[in-house]
Amino acid sequence: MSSSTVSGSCLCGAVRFRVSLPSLFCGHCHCSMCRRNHGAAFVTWFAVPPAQLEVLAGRNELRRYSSSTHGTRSFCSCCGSSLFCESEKHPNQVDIPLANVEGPIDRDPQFHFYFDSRAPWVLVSDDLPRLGGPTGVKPLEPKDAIKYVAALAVRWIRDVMSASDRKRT
Amino acid sequence: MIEGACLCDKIQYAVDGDIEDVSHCHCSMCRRIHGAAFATYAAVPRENFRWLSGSDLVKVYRSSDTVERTFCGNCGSALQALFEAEPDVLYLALGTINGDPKCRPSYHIFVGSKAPWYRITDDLPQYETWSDRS
Repeated sequence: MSSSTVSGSCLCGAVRFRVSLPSLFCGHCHCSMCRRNHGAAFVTWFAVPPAQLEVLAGRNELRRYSSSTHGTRSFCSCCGSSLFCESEKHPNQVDIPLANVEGPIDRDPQFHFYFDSRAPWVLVSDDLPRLGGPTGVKPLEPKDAIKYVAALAVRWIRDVMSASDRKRT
Repeated sequence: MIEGACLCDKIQYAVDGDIEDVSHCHCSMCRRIHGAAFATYAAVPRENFRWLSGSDLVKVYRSSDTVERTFCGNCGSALQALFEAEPDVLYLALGTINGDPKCRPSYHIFVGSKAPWYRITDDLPQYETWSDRS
């Protein structure tokens, strides 16, 4: 698989950005902060290294909100679209809502994280691994650990093969 | 009484009575403004809703000729959707409600526009449009 880019924007189009793939991961976050900030059942994020996100337009419209001692959430001040999430705990990644990019990225959602914080009114009946605990990424049951390790292994193999393809081209 | 707030807690609101009509909206506008696979809204009589604090921070975006969406100007939290065709009702983003509102989503709407990377796996009814519900 060769590298590619995807475009994205807020709803009103004031903020436009481009993301270079490959991504680092993709999953559904059920934490209370994401749910409240996005006003949603959960937020589906994908992550890339910060250098792979380029804001093409709307830097003046993009507002940054310090949501915690280590976290910053960016949104469009014109339409309110919740966009990027960054954390000093994870300086090598920026999280982007999958809903705000056009077209597919290089992976589908792979897991639920902070699943034990989920809203009481959410029904989840897929077979993705369920992770949670204080870090949000601890497998909640043995079967989740197996699925999680399997998902990581598949991703590692794909990343190795992609890197190998890029070397050959 | 049901209460809710934005993420920064500067905007707080209250709803009198129970919340009954809750749905998941998969339209492209809701997905994009909420940055999520779908939005979950509770239909609330406008007369039952009031701001407890921070109403001066509420910003309004007109997403179409007939729809307005409100959000917090400080933290960006999505709050409501208001339809011109339904002047007596407002749609409240359920993610901003405190605790368990006891209501549960009862259907999916605009599923024809749903995110290609999200598979609906529950048994709730799925409708393409509002008129499909009747």
